[in-house]
Amino acid sequence: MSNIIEVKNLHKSYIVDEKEIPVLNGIDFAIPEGQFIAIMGPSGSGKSTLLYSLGLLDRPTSGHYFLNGKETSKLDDKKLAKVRNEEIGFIFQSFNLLRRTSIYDNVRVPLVYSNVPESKHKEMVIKALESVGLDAKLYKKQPSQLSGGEQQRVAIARAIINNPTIILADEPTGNLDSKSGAMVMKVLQDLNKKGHTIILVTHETSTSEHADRIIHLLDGVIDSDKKVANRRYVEKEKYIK
Amino acid sequence: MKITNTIRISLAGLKANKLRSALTILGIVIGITSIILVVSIGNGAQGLILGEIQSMGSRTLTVEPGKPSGGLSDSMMTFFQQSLKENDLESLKKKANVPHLQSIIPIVFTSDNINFGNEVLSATILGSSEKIFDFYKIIPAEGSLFTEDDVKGKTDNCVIGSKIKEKLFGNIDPVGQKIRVKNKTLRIVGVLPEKGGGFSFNYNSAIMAPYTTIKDYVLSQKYYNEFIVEVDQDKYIDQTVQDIQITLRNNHNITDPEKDDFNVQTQKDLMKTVGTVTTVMTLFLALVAAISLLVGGVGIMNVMFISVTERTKEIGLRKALGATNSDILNQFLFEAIYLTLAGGLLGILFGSLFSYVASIGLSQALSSNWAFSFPISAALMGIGVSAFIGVVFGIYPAYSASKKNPIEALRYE
Ligand SMILES: Nc1ncnc2c1ncn2[C@@H]1O[C@H](COP(=O)(O)OP(=O)(O)OP(=O)(O)O)[C@@H](O)[C@H]1O
Ligand SMILES: [Mg+2]
Repeated sequence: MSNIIEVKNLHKSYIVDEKEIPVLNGIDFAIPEGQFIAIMGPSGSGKSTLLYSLGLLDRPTSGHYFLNGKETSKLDDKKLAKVRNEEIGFIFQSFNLLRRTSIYDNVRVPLVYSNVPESKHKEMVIKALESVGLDAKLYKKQPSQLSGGEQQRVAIARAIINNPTIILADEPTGNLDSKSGAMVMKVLQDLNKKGHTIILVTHETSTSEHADRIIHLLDGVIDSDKKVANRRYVEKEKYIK
Repeated sequence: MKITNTIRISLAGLKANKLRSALTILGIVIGITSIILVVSIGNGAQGLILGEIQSMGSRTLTVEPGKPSGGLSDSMMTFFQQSLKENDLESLKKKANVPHLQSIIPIVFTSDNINFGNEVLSATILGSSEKIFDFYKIIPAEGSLFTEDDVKGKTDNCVIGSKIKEKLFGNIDPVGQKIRVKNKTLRIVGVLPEKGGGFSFNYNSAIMAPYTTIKDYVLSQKYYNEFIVEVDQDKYIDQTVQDIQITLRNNHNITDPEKDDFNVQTQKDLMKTVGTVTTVMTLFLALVAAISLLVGGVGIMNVMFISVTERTKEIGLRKALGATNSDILNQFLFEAIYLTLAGGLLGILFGSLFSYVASIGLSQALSSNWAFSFPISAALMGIGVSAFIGVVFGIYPAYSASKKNPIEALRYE
């Protein structure tokens, strides 16, 4: 298997009031295609920063990031937007659905920024909703009419609608009760089974054990990087609608 | 991204804040409405004035005392005001001097009180030859008009305007009554018809009498205030202007035309002057109205900044999902342009409506035919200007939105 992601000596610092605040201090790892990775670590250790850097939302301060074998620092803003649109799907802790906008229009946002013809949107939205275990009839509703678990699954449908190779999830179960959280994990595991590479940031050990590899961050460096010995699977029975 | 998608997203953004959007465009609506109104009324007024000038006939010239371009001190002005004398009238009447002069109406006028019994009223007192009645196409409402013989004989026969009749005489029949002007007595032989509004000489509050009587008897002045000259044929207008100038310069011993103490105006000159004056007035008022557009534009900019800040997270999300900087810029720029365009269109609608209503009102008030014309050029300009304002005041907020760092935008609470 080839490495879909490879980072070498990655540094990232923020500048606040002209002072440099280092957050990532030399990260090295490689992720083969199709892996399910959990990133753990205490608050402020740089998990989200690492995830957003992998998602090309910002450029690293120094170091190398190869995506599909290609050095990303050479890409201009427009190309980065295209890669984010086509190769990467984002899932956030707070769902980040657009208010007062129908589920349909929420899920198809990535299509709007790619060149998928309008006529195909409906079919694709329905397919995406169904693949995260949602009733396609929901598409006319507004986010505020759905439960948290349903909203997060809408967000996952949005993340996968362009069929990205990589899914980046920042504490996707953080705002959910355990049952809804289990459903979301089940969806992610199903997507992983279909071949999507998944990188998941989480606080909870139990959640991280759904992955097949756990990277532990501490003060912006990798503290440990282990395979999961007893990987957990969300059983079919738990996946209740 | 396709333009249709940008349009859809921008419209959705506005719909989410209907009330705010509506309030935001108010400034633009008011601005465009007032511009349309001002331009439309200005055009209407201009049309009406020009129409009246034209109806006086293109072969009419007026000779007035004073330098053509003005700009003299008061004492000089007064001297020049008295420059048209009896011998000028005689010279102009001579075929040898002004061969194509068909007729000339000498005019003297002033404003003074007139008395009837114990009643006093301020009025315009106008002395002229009887030809003035043809000139203004006047047919008496009561009694008769004064005649050529009255002019020749310096009789005290006069006619009065309808307002004077109403105010001074009430129910009494004015014909045959005597009134006093400057302690001289005039006898009323007729009443003038009521004149509708408009901008040419309004004789409703005037008394008209032979110029000989007014000039020598009532005012005892040695000069005329104006000559109205009729040229026999259109093609001789320019020549006649020159003949008059030469004759008068000769009489006044003027060699340098710059030093003329009189001026000859053709209808063309007059129309040009009126046209310029009304256009400048209209433009000036439109400019004042345009200030509210500026205020409206600043309001739009303000609201766009608020909207960009409020939707910081949305901007971060859209970027994470593949929006480029220019997608975001377009989204917010289009929002601003829709707002101003909508304001502009509403302004055109209201402006046209109000100026239509105003044209009806003015037609009745002036009892003249005030033409309403949809000011197409102002409307087109209104659309252009409002779109332009959208771009000018929308670009900076939109640019600031597009430049937001996606990570920070996503973290924004
Ligand atoms: N835009 C920014 N400007 C300045 N400092 C920042 C910025 N974003 C993050 N930081 C700082 O970087 C550090 C790492 O933040 P990050 O969000 O990556 O941590 P995290 O591991 O995801 O924490 P948590 O578990 O609380 O989400 C924190 O100390 C944070 O304050
Ligand atoms: Mg975090």
